[in-house]
Amino acid sequence: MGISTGGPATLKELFTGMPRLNASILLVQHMPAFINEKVRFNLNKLTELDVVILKGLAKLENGVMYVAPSGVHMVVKNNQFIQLLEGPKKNFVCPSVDTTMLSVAENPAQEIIAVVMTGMGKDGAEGLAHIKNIGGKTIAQDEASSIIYGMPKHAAATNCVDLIAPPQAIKKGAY
Amino acid sequence: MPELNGFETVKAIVDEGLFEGNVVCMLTGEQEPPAGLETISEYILDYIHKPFSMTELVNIIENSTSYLASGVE
Repeated sequence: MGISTGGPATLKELFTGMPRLNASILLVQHMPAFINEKVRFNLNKLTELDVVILKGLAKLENGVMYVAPSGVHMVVKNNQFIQLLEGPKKNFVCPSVDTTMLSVAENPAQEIIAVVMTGMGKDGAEGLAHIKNIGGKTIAQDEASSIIYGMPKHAAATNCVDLIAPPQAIKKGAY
Repeated sequence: MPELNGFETVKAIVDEGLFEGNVVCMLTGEQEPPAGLETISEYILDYIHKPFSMTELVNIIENSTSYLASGVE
């Protein structure tokens, strides 16, 4: 899941009351480093999911939301592990939504869903198309509910989006 | 304002290394940000455009202050 400007309010709407899911959530929120822990803390209060800032390497666990820390990319390894990866900015940002989504591999045994929500620029569009191409489902936030209709617009322009919807509808589809 | 717009102001704050400890919510007449400002997207947490309601304004301020005052260390 990728989100940028307008993210905190949108994530609040999306995750308030969300139960512990039988899934892992990988969240890339563009944000300054000094609020990483506060974003985690606020999200953790809203949902029964365990919300953690990724540090190093972790095995993907159901019921956990992994938040990418600022200044480093977050990538999936063999669809089982998640780790931090130093690297240049992509789409002017680090962590990049694209980098995380592009690291996901095809696996028919797993249900993979890409979600691109409010934010400036085009980060997430390439990654979302990749997820679609490997057999995943794809969702972009709709224009009316997007605080900035940049990232979701570019995602929709790939013609690889299965669902265009506001946060409440995305939430209902999550469980 | 008049020499810099809001986005240029944020970029200048970042470029001068003065951003630490702040969050930015843009209140603007622009429906969409000008192109090329993705470079500062990580610094702009929220964004509302005119016309806006007082409720929207209060919510956005409360959301922002929650990131500064959660008391988590």
